[in-house]
Amino acid sequence: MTSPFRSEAQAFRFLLLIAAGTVAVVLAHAFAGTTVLVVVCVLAALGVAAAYFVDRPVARTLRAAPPHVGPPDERRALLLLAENVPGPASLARLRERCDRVLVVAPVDTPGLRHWASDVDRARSQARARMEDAVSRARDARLDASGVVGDEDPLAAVDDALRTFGGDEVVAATSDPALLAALRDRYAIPVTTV
Amino acid sequence: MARHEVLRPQAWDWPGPRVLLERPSAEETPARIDALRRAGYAVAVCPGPTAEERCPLAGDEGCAAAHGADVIVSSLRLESVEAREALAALRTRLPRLPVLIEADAAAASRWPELVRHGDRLEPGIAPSELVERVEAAISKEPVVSD
Repeated sequence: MTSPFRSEAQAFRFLLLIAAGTVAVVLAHAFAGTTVLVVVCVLAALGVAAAYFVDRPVARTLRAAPPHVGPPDERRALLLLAENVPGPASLARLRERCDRVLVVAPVDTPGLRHWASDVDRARSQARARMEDAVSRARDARLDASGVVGDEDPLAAVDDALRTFGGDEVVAATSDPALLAALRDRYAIPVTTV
Repeated sequence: MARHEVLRPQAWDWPGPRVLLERPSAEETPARIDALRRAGYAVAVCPGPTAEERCPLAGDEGCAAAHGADVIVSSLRLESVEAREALAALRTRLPRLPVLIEADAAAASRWPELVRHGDRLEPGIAPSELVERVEAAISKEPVVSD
């Protein structure tokens, strides 16, 4: 069983809080009326719940990467198309360090479109963005191909790494949360354009 | 308010053979990962527990990454009690798993029950040599060192 507590000290603090809440409830029961007792019970429960959730740790996983795919000297990059297509200058810089590029365009199904399962239109839009990016990459003399990926960018990168491999993830995004998630997840360089 | 983080090693997403690097130095990590990946290994990097937490391997929850690894390369500093506790747990829970330990000769001779003959890696070992040692450990060839 996985302990919900970060350390024994945190578990002990939580135990002390429960003990204090119990004492408050017992005293209210002994010396105060029903209304005060109810208020104390509610406050004690809220306090314990708040302490648990505020002090609850965030799970930190390990960075990992699959084996290299392709000839030993070949360097492959995954270009995650989370936002706009990179410009010629960015693609030229990518060409200087990579031999092959796979453009990964996640299906973007925000808000109501996700719940309304309007994925066909989102998929065709992702395909159009991917084809545009592949075309520009080839114009920049990159050996490029592309795929439409899962709506979850991390799952899309996972899928691409399994098939194409990749020695670097290049994220076309300005979303710091996505960049952080990529860097926390993969043991290969994650850069942005 | 900043949330506390706790190490929760996940199961491997990638096919083997798999090498788990435990707390490699920041400078050496990229080159080691690159060399191991190009030699055909999936790689995971464990930053090690923080000062406030216990290594999951030594606790009840265990370490899914260690259990799924084919070789572990530990750069945990043996001078740390927590590191020795983690390595002892590795030896106990996964006695057949090859564990290569990056440590100087003095530390290795001080804790021989943890750094067994042939398991020691010279600190700062070159990536190509690390790959050779990992390959030897997986193939269970006897390694002559020290």
